Amino acid sequence: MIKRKNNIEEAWADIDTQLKKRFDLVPNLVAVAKKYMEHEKDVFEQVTRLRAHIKPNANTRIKDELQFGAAINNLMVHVENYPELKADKQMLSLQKSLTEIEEHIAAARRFYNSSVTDLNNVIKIFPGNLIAFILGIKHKEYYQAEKIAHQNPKVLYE
Amino acid sequence: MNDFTSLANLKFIEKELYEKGFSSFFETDVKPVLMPLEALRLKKIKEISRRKIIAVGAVMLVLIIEILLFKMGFYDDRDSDGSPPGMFFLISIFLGIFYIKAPGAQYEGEVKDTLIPLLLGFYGKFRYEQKGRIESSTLTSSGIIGNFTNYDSLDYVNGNYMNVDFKIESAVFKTKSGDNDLLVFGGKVLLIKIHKTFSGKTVIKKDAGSLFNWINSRGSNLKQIKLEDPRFEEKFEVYSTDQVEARYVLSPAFMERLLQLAELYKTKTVQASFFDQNLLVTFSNGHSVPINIFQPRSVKESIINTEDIHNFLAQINSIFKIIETINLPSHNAV
Repeated sequence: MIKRKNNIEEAWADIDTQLKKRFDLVPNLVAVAKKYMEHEKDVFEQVTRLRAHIKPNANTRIKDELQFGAAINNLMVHVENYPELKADKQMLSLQKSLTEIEEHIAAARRFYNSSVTDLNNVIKIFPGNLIAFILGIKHKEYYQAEKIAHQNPKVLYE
Repeated sequence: MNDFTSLANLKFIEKELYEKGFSSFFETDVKPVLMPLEALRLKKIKEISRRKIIAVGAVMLVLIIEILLFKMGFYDDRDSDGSPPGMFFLISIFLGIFYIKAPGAQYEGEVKDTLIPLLLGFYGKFRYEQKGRIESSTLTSSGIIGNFTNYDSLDYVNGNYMNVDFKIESAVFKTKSGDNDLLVFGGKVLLIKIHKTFSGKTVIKKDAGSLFNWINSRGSNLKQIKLEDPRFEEKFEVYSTDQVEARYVLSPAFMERLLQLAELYKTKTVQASFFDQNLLVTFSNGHSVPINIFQPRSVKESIINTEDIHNFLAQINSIFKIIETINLPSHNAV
């Protein structure tokens, strides 16, 4: 059970590393996009606001990161409407980095969720539930991107 | 109709999508090499006929000597560990067959050396070597080909297709066990260069059942990885030094492509490994000698036809099909 708990921590550490990379990359992305997307103030505000809302040790971290991710996706959808921006070398490079980071987040998330399933299954039944109670190990929350990604990002912040 | 007339009248009919535009290439580039190959074939047939007479004569001579030795009681006085009666006769038959077949094999080799690079050239810049090979050290590092002492290869192709740098060959790996050579692997080996370096190693093996999967993961630094796709889990077992990297390379889309590849090569065992800057995919057929990827028709049949060319193009495109199925994007991210 301890091994399973450690797996979750290890998986979370991987996610955290990638989330930090994304957190650092987004201001550059916004700065480049702003040069071309003058009439998309709402989109930038949403990204900036949600980025500022992220606190590394907050209980709502997963939810906050998913909302932040959805706002970035929304920004990238708008980028598609600006051919000059799409062709900008700096933008291309940032997009490539973002894709790479998102792929790593997706991989780390799959490891995290798989580890959470392992632990949650064990602590649901006897004697796992008893040992978990003694050790103070609790049911863990999944990192579920789908729930947020399938919603309209604008609705989230009304 | 003589060969020159039949060659002049020969037209290549494009039947497949991958043959589009080939008919003019056939006229300008392929036709000029067919006549010298046909001349070589006829020369080799004559040589085979000559060798048949010599070989049959030699075998008969050995048989007569064997009979005489037997009649003279030569075999009666021998120890039980001496050569039994008829042994030299049998050896002479094998040598005779080899002697007769050699010109045919030389001709087939010449056809491949002439036509395969030419036909590959229609699709891009590729290098073909009948006896070329992928470096042993790279294959050893992959973790899907066991330790080997003998390495035999055939039909090595190296090049770039759909922005993917690849090497492919038919290979057999054996290892010494006492006096015997044990087969480690026999089949096709495809090595793809990935433009990013993996920090760990991820190996995708054929599922061997829970017990053997568990045994396989013992005693190595590779951990068994459980993935979400039950169809993939049923077919393959994944081991890796890095849980996250394994899931990075085995994205749901890539798992789907590997399943498609396994479906395409049902009769073979498909396995793969990501390591350093490489993706190695193996298609095991269990043969103990390398099987031709490119197989010309027999020396007995004229080369002045388009059937051989259709076959070669199909064989070349079966390689491309693998790369298309793996479908690595241009930046080679998986």
